[in-house]
Amino acid sequence: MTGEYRPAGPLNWIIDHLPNHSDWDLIGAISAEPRANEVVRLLFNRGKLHNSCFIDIEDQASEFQIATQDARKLHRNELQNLFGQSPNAIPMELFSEIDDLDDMFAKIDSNIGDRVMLDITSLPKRFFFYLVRKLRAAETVKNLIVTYTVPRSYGKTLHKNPGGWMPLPGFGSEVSSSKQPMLVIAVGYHHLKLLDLIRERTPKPIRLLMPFPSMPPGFSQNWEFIRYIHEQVEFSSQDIRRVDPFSVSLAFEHLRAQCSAHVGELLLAPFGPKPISLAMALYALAREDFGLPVSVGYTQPRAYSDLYSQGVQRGHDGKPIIHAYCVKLNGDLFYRWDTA
Amino acid sequence: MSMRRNPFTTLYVTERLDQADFPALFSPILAPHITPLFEAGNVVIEGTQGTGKSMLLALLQTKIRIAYAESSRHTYPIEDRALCQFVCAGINLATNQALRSAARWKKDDEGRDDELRLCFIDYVNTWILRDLLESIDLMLSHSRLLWEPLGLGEGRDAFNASIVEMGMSPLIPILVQESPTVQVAVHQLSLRIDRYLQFFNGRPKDLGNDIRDTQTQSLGQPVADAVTILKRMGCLAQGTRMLIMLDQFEQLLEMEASLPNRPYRLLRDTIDQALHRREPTLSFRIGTRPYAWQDMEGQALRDYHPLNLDEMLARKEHGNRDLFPNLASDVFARRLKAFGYDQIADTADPIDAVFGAYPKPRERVRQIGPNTNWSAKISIPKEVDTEIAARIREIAIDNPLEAKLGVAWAMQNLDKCNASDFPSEVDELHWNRNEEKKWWKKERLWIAILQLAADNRQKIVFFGKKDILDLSGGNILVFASICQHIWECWIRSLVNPKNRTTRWEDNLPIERKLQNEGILSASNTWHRKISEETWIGDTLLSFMDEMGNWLRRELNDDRSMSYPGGNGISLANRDVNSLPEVRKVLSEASGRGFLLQRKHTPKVRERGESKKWYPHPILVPYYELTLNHTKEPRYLKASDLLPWLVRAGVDIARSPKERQMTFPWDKAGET
Repeated sequence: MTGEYRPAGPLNWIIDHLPNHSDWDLIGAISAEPRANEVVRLLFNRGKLHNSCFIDIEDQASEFQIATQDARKLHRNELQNLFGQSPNAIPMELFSEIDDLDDMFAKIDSNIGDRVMLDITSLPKRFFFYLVRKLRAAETVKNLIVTYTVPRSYGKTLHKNPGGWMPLPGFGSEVSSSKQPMLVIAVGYHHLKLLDLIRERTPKPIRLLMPFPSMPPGFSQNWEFIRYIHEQVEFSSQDIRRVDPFSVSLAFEHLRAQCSAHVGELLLAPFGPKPISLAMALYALAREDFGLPVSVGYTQPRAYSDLYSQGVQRGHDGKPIIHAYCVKLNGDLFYRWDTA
Repeated sequence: MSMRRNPFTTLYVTERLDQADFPALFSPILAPHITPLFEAGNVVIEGTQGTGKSMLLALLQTKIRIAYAESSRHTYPIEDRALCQFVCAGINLATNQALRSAARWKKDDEGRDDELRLCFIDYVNTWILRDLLESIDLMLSHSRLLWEPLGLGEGRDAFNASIVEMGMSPLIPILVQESPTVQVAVHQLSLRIDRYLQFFNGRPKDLGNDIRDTQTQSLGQPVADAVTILKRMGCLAQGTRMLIMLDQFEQLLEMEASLPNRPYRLLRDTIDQALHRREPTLSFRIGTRPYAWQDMEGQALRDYHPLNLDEMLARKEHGNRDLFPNLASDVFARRLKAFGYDQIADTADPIDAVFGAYPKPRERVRQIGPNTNWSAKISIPKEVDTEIAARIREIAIDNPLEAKLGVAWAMQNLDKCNASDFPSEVDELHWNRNEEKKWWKKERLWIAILQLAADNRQKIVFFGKKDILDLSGGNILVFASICQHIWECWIRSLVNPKNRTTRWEDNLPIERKLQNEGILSASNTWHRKISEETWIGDTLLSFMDEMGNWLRRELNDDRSMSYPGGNGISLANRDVNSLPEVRKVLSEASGRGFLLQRKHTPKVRERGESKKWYPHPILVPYYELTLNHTKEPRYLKASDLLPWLVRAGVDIARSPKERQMTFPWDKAGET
């Protein structure tokens, strides 16, 4: 376990402990989720918000579409009331590919300075993995904090009609070797066609990162996820590693311990909580810096439910629980290969 | 070897199997039916998930051919030497990243479509050419006795000379740089593939002129050119066929469906065109699921020879009735042998040895409720005369099945029968006494058992060889999956101290309730698998649930048993075609193997040409339906299915453009 300290904690606490950083440029999402606007509201109310831009993502058509559009409109109006003017929104389609994402980033880039906060709460993986890569690499961005707001609960139906396994934009393998890759799965609620990947690539070894403790009643779905995978492929209980679902640093360390000795291709499957997905993004980038092959993929659903999550989890002080993770401060990266 | 290992733990053997183990596990039963695979000309091998396409295509791979050549116990399933004179190179479209070319598709950039096609074609060509060179190299690294009969000509020197020739040939721009050895050529091709992979990631933004200026324009062309050189230089014999294998073609359809407002058949057309060219030097082998091949331009028999595994393995009235049972038996024995269960594997009928006989109807009822007071449990509709009902309850004490048939008889003859028609001697009952009523009874046994199970709040039990083969529905993966689940239950039962004292062989056939438990578990797994279908899994699952639950309710509510074949539906073709949403969802569910689609001759001629659909047999235990396909299915109108579609989340009222997004399988012309 590395001894390096990687600052993380409640967003309020992080802000209080960065006195030299007066205000931040925020990248977030206009989303149907009730928790989507908590970070911007906090920054605004504390006078810490400089510029902001919000990615407004349209899913593919589904029975959720009308309700999702209504909820997005509601949250956009909330932002308008907060700012007294229309929010800076960038309309995008859920299945935007790398060139459209590059166009999107060009717009974002003109709106951000050296202190950037990326709120991944309601950003799909296709977007936030891409943004983490770009912001981490951007020399002009000296300080990068990623935030995540915990919902009160999740809906019964989260999404509709997932696709097959495809690399997230920019995170595909770059070697044509047909050797057996290693696979690390962040365990979530739905396996979403993950078996196709296992069947087709026959990865070995397979490791699972199990969120622990999981938000009840989610733990039963987590175990069901594991049971289903185990029905199709052999692995032992030793291959299941329990990880705090909100500790990016710990998940990063687990990945380091499990994967760094594997010099062949590594496949990462971020199906679990967003902070563990963030750890996977950061580990993949660190590994890439070191020149080792890595690929991160997902089985992207066509649409998300308007009831994906409900409410906002609040602490005993009644305030929303917002986790903040420092990725870069004063130009120094915290999740690097040489510390990994 | 431990006797408690599950021989069916790994269901997908093709991908997970070590090539050296392939000959022991591959069943040659289908070999006489697939000889077009080895002959000249294009072949499209279609089959739903688990019909064994990839296993059959694996026979063409060089590594597998070498494994057979090196095996002392197993010979290559095709014995005709002339058929074996071929070289094969190929690509699995699911695993070899060719589909990632779509990552550079850009909205509102029309020029990109052609660029993407070229990237895809060149990527696949490069991959196949590399595979060809590696395959020949691998063969030549073995004894001449191995490679000479396979169609290679003069050996290593001719091969090396061919490589040099290819390096100088303007026909193969990929290899224009000097490539004096096969290793250098393969390395160059690998570098080119890696360049594409980086480009697909958006790094670099541009492919680079060195690649762009040398991109190959049509699928297979550089391989055809290479083969010409290989033959001219004597490396390949003149009569050697060049087979190009493209497996998992359906992945192209699924990738295209992910592109918003995509050009329809963006990449599939490249393969269609390759087949249409009928290039004399090349023979394509396309492995696909049926739904992805439904609207291709190429014409069967003119452009390619179709091999449909589902049709081949379906149990027909005439012809190959025994093909699937024989295949299942052979696969079963090979798996058992590989896991050390030789004693069972070597018996005359290993499936029968493990699972035993299937239950006769009375036995099936006994299993549903061994201690049930059927006289009290049997449900008799109010319409039945009380005196008749009393007689039926009397019969039910010892013969619940006859009593249930009595309920149906009474319901069908409400105004005509009386209590004297129901004597306590069951042989005297109408349907037993009267020869022409034998069929009346036979056709209603399943529905009677189903209704008894419902009366007793139980499910129908399934066990025994025939049940397992019937539930497999001609799909070898379903069969292996049932075996896997039953074996798991059996292994768990052996932990029981009572069973530990006996030898494991003494616990065969596997206890019926363990078989039933395993079958239910397998059925649940296959039900869940519906949701795994790319892009439409949740929609299909909801639709299948609507249909399955409706059929169950109808079967249970049909107290007069007027529709004993009501475990499927029939729709007139013209009616279905008038509602594209209904047609598409039925077509998708059938193409993916969740519904069995058959032609149907309706009772009423005016109804016109019709089709009937049944849930796949493995879903029967989950939906609690009957298993037999006798008598008439339920006649429905296409509009009757609309509520199912709406509840499955399909918006029927969508505009054509929106519908295209909801249904990725739409033809461009229809939207």
